[in-house]
Parts: sequence; C-alpha cells; structure tokens
Amino acid sequence: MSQSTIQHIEVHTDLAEAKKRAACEFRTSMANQGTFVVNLVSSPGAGKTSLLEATAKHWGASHQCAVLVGDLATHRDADRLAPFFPVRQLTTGGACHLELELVARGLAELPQLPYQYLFIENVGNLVCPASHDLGEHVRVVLVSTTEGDDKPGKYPKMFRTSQLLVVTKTDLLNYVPFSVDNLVQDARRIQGSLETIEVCSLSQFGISIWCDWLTKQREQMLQNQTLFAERGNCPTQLAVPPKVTSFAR
Amino acid sequence: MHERSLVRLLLHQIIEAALKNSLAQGNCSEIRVRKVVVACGELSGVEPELVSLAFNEMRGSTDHSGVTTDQAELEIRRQPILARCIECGFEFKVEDFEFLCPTCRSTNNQVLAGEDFHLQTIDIELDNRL
Ligand SMILES: Nc1nc2c(ncn2[C@@H]2O[C@H](COP(=O)(O)OP(=O)(O)OP(=O)(O)O)[C@@H](O)[C@H]2O)c(=O)[nH]1
Ligand SMILES: [Mg+2]
Ligand SMILES: [Zn+2]
Repeated sequence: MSQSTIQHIEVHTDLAEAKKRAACEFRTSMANQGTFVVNLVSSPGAGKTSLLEATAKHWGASHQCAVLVGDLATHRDADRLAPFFPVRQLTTGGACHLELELVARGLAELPQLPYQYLFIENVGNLVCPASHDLGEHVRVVLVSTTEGDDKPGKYPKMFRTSQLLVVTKTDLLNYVPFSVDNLVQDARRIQGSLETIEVCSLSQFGISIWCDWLTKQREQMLQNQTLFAERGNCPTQLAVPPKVTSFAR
Repeated sequence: MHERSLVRLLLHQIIEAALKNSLAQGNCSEIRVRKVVVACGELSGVEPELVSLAFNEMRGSTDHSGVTTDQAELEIRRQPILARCIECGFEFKVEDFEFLCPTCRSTNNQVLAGEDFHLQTIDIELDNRL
C-alpha cells in the first residue's frame, strides 16, 4: 500500500542570481585593472559607431581604448572602427542583445593591454539589452533627433538603468520635430539622476564634453571602486535554507 | 525578454529544489511537482503571459531523475515596483514607471523591489511506501 504526501517548499531564489554575480565580479575585476567599461545602447542607427569614431578622433592616440561591438551579423562596424581601436566584432547570430559570456570571450581575443576604457557597442535595440548587465561601469543610452522625443516613456527600463543620455545628430534639429527638453523631461520622470550631453558626431560638436565626462567618471572609479561595484545590484544576502511544510494527502 | 530560456532555467531550479528536499528526507520515490509560484517584477523585463505559455509548453520536457513537472501548475504573482525616496525616505509603489516621490516630489530614488524574477515556492507530491 502506498500513501502520498504533499510538501510545500519555500525556495525563494532569484533566477538571475548567477548572472548578477558574474557581472559584478567582472565589473570589480575591470575596475581593479583600471579599465572603465562603457555599455553603449540605443535603437538601430542612433549613432553609436559614429560616436566612437568621433571619440577616437578627439583623443587620438592619447588614451588606451578597446571596442567590442555587437551585431546580429556582419563585421561592418568592426571594420569602421579598426583604424582607430583594437576591436572585436561580436556577432550574436540572431540574438537581439549581448551577454556577458560573449563580452568576456571577445575581450580575451583582444591584445592583452591594460586598457583605460573598454567600450561595448550593444546591438541596436532598446528592449532586451536593458535586462542584461554586461559588467559595465556606466550604461550610456543614445537617442538621435530623428527618432522622436517620446522614447523614454516607451522604453522605461532602458532609461531607468542608464546613467547618461546622449542626444545625437543635433545638426538635424532644424529639420525634425524634436525637443531635447521634452526628451530629457520624459527621461527624468523615470531616472531622476540621468545626465545629458548633446552631440553631433559628424562635426565633433559636444564630443569634448562627452570625452571629459568619460575621463571624470573613470577618475571617480579609480578613487572609489565600491561606488561602481554596487551598480547592477549585486546579490549579497546569503541563501536562506528552504522551509518545508508537509501534510498527508 | 527571453521567456523560453527563463523557463528552462526555472524548470532546472524547480527540479533542483525538489531533489534537494527529498534527498534531505531520504526519499527515493517519484516526485511529482504539483504547483509552482513565481514572482515577476514589473521592471524585470519579463512578460508573465509569455512565461505562462512557455511553461505550459515546456513543462515535463526536463523530466528525469525522478522528478516530473508535466502536471505542474504555474502561478505568476506580479511584483509591483517599490522605491525608496533618497530625499525623504518615503517608500512608495511606482505606477506607470513614474519614479516620483508622492510626498516630496523628488525624482531621486532607489528601487527596492520589482526588478527580479523569483522562484518562490513549489508543492511536490511524494509516494511514501508504508
Ligand atoms: N546627420 C547626422 N548623421 C549622423 C550623425 N551621427 C551618425 N550619423 C549617421 O547615422 C547613421 C547611423 O550611424 P551609426 O553610427 O552607424 O549608428 P549605430 O547606432 O552604430 O547603428 P547600428 O550599430 O546599426 O545600431 C549613419 O549613416 C551615420 O553617418 C550625426 O551626428 N549627424
Ligand atoms: Mg553601430
Ligand atoms: Zn520624498
């Protein structure tokens, strides 16, 4: 004869815990090497690669930078950036975002220098990259003047998880109905401490402000590493042993 | 987001929790998972309906090691976004992604809950030979 029992088990595990821990370890280890990691996110074509080209032109050879660039397919962005930076193209083969494993693999393929900056150009997409911590120190979201000033409210998570908003293609402001004020206001409802920089990568307008911002952020990281280590809410609590209640059926 | 890979991970965690528990009790009979409760944060990027669809399609697919999930019922509890105001300390529920303190109108705040996807509880059925 057999009798069955029902047991109720309190598990309480965060399904992303392992990933969060890996991202925090990566962030800490990069900070220890003095490498400031920047995750660039935007919709397709907002000007991420152009911003990196303009950054390279501004800094010349004075800074040690490397780039990992994600796309579904092709090496086009890596080819564009190769004259300026050590670069690896990460092709996701259909996935709409980058993951830390891919970033770590790409980094291992770069020449082993102590880099001051590692730029990660994410796949153009305002949805999925928001949910993937790549172990970056800052997340920078780009919005171009041609895509409308109503984007923050539509993609709240991306703006909530970013620290800087870069408004790109300001040379087109006269041709499109786009208000930088409306954009910033909309974004600050979601992320009150979001900073903003306006740039035109084609003319280098605003690029020195962007580069100074990066320099300042990196200095802050070097002075106070825990400031950035806490980003991305690292799991710190110890796992609680599961509580079980049984009753016969 | 990526509900199918999330559900794969979820099934794995369910089986692990069920096995760990029955091992602790020295039980080696078949374990049937009856009910699973998860909490889905509004800021997790996970769509509950898609999780539900994926779960119903994928449950049972990982059945081995004596744990079956093909009869498991999934309950998804939506976890609202909770934030704490950095200026005045007030804790509030965030509606429509408006991260604004209702007391002092500050937009400077920290999220306390609603960013994650948690496996909360499972109910398992065990056959005990008498
Ligand atoms: N007018 C104008 N065009 C720009 C500016 N910056 C970039 N563009 C153009 O916008 C287009 C897209 O720029 P990219 O830099 O390739 O954008 P991206 O975000 O890297 O694109 P994906 O990687 O495909 O998502 C290109 O044709 C650029 O020349 C700008 O400041 N002004
Ligand atoms: Mg690009
Ligand atoms: Zn307040």
